[in-house]
Amino acid sequence: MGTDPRSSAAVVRTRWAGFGQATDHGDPAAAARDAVGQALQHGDDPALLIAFATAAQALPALAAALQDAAPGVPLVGASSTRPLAPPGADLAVVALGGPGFAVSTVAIERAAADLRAAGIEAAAALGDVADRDHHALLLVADGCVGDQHELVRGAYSIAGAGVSLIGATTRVPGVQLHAGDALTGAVVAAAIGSDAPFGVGVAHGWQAIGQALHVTRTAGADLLTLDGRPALDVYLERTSAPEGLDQDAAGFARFADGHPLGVRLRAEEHHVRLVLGADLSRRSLRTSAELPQGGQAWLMVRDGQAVTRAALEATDAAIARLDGRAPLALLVFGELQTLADVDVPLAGLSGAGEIARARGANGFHNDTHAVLAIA
Amino acid sequence: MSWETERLTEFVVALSRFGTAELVAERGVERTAEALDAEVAALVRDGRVAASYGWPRIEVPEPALLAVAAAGEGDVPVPGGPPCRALAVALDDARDGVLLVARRHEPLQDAEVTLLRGLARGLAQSLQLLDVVENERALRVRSEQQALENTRLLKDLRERQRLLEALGSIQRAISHRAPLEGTLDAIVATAAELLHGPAALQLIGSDTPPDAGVWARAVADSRLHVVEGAEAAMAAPVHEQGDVIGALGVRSRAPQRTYSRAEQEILIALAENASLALTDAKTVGAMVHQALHDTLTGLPNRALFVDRLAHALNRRGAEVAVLFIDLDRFKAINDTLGHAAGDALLVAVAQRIGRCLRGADTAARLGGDEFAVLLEDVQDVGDAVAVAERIARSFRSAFTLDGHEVFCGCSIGIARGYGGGEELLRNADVAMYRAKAQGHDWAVFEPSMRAEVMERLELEADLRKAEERGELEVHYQPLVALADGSLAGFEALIRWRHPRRGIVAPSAFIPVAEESGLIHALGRWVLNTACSQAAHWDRVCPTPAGRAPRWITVNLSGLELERPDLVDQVAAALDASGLAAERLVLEITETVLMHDTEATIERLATLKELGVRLAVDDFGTGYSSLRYLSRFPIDLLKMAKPFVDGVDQGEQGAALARTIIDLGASLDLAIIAEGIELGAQLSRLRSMACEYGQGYLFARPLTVRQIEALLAQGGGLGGFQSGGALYAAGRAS
Repeated sequence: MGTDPRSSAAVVRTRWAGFGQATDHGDPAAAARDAVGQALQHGDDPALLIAFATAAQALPALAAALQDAAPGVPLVGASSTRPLAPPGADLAVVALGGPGFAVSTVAIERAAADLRAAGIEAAAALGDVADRDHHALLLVADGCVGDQHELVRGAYSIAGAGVSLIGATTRVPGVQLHAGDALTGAVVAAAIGSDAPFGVGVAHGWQAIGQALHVTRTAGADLLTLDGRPALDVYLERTSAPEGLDQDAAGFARFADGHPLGVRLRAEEHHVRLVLGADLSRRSLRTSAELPQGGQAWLMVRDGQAVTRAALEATDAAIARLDGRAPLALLVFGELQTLADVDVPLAGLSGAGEIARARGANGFHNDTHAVLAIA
Repeated sequence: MSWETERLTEFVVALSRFGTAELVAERGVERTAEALDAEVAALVRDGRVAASYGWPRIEVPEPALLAVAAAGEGDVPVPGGPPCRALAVALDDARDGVLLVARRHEPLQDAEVTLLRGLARGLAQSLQLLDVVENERALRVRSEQQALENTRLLKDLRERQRLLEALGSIQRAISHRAPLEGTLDAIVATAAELLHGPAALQLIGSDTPPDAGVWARAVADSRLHVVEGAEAAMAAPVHEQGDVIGALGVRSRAPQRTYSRAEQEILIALAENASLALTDAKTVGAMVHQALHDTLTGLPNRALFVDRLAHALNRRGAEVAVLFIDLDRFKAINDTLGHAAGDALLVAVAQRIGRCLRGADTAARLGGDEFAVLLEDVQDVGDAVAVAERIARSFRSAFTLDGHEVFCGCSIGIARGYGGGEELLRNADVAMYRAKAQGHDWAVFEPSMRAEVMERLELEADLRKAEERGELEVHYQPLVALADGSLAGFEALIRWRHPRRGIVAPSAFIPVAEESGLIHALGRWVLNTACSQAAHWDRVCPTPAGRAPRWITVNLSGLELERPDLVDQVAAALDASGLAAERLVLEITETVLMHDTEATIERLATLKELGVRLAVDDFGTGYSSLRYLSRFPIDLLKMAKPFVDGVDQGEQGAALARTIIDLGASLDLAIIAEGIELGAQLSRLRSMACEYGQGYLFARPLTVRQIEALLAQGGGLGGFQSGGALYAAGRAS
């Protein structure tokens, strides 16, 4: 082990990352002790625990057990109805520790009232770790409330281009974990200061098809009309949806999960916007983020290879931004069907949306592979 | 739609949702960065960074951004890496707006630069629109503030209007002489309303005198006093003709009340109005009193007397009587002693009348030297007569005026209550005239008197014009030396030949002349005429040698005697006629001489200095004091006719005549027996050595022609022996 602070051995002494996982056997406490114990065995002075859990568990008890397993250690996390990363885990815990990390966490409950303000408050935690050279802001939010893009804008307005933004929004019935509590409707944030850079990679495998739909009227994340007609009706037509979905909210949600819309960021680049549900009486669509009124939207499609390529591209991009350092851990959000084959501990969660800013100012995605590489 | 167009459309639509320029600027730079996939963007306006995105708040590189904004492009620090190239595009607005953006991973393409320019224009338009909206909003805010201010001012104005209306109403009440109580009540009510608390006016001497709290202090210090806090109150002094007589104050119902300067001034203004009302009422009261009372004597004047008379008649009808009192010889006294003495006499008369009245009776001065008395509860005319006699008796004693004793009589007319007040007063006036004419102290009105008064008034009117109409004549009655029957002189007697009435007896019109003041003109005319006639007769028919020159006697009334210019008039008549002074004898009745004797003596002495002679007419009918008689500078006594009538009616009558004759002899006064009508009278008077006589036995008063005829016959010795020559001569002519 050299003394070069940039060497992995030296980094391991000043910064370390641990990983643990457990399966659900109906005993949250045991699962927590097990997963946390695994994660903390890699070093002393844990700075942060990041926990992802499947929604089938008793999440409040699990949250409490996680904190009990690591008293005083800042804890953030989320749950998902979808499989976690690594595959097969019902509980995945990443621990960061060592004097090379500084962490400050915050939970903003009832964030839906003003997501921009929640993002601003979340980013304000970076002030507690401002003395470090590199910064990342991990955000976990309830994706079912408000325009999540506003959350990202609020956080970016405070954090700026020098902070790596990463995170996810949960789906119903997902929770946000913070300090032993399982919250809903909240924004949980972990401001991480490090002696080493962070790297964020973002990619998706979706492609736009067909004619553009004109976004004629929106109300925040509610898409009211497309091409001047009720958005639900236009969507069902364009997606050739099965009959009866306009009368079946649950069925429509399941159908829409695989038929996202996309908005064009640059000439040939689209960002995905999930259709989370519909207001059958108003004939409107509920999207994961506001579609810009006056703009255009497309139906998005993808294939399995595109998904794989996206996972690799995002992972590589994230690791590449570590300035040659070896990653200690990866946090993965979004499409987890395919993970990059890297020998790096990783944990991840698939939620309603992904928060990740690799370049530019845009940081909210759907069905996108978002990776934070931690060195 | 092209990508650029799509972005621009989204941009403009997104900005349209923000309502302030600040939000548009913030969101505009956000959407600019997102639209161009740039890490940072900023808006420079008015020489400063108006909004930025992508830098932590405390790390915005303002100097670099301003430099790029000015230059159009340049490097700017971008967090998380080295500086990046930034491109700046002007907004082309009035505030030097510049939109700039920097992207790390690759420079902006041409299409993106075009888009950036479009975004800048869109942002400029949005900001410009909001500037207009903001200006209008600010204008609306100012308008609303102005409206609020106007509302406040209007409220102030309304309050002020309310105050002005209240003050105006109060001042109208004062100027219209509304009842004082109502005006003061209005002032107190206004104070309570405008100052939001119970108000009170406390006056010294009232049931609620200002003896405590701010009221007492305001009175004591004669200024506003204010107490604030738990028991707030304030009071301002109230004046009457400059003297503090109370205070107007208000209390507060609200706890911890304070009184603003404006409220204090309101109370002071209301207190001043109360002062004005009280002062005006007192002044009006004095004016009303003055308007209804005689200023000299303090008695009610005619207006008030008539009003009280009317009320008394309404209440008591026939049980009301009026005394009309007229002073005798007041004008002479006024003219002789001066107006100050005249005023003092009137005051003294008022006091004497007052002392003669009962408590419920009312005395008044009607004007001049006329007084009236209202008697109520008169059951019988005797009740009124009793009062009249009391008053008349009170006039018997002299009035002392400036050290002088003055006698002033009065004539009283009595009328009982039938008809209206003015009619009653007129009736009493008529009765007064009857009393005066008859020389009585009082007379009770009878309807027949009215005709007499009318007659009297007509007579007076005719008398005024008699001289100019030539209706007056002087007749002359011879005065005879009884010893030898020679013509000693003439007595000039005025006669009035009325075209309709015929010869009006002097006894009928002389009193009228004296009452009306015409006696002065008549007397002057008679004097001048008689002197001229006598002087003419001296020239055309001189007194025979060896005889004393004929004299002419002219009667002087008491009024004439009191004229200050009498001596001058006599002197002027003598000068004008050329008659020697000793040829003129002025006759004055005994009763006249007894009035104001000291002054009379002085006046007579002055006349004597002219050289004229003085005779006492109707001697024996007055109440002469022999002491005064010796002091009067008189030369002749004219024995009154009653004594002449009795001279041959027994010893007592003869004795009286002899006494007078002897008195005259004792005092070296010549005696003229008046009214000799019988030869027996003549014989007895001659035997008593009475020197002169006159009467129908010798001749009635004769005209000038008859006198001249008499003179032509010589009228000499023995002419009257028979006693009938003149009579015969008189009848012949």
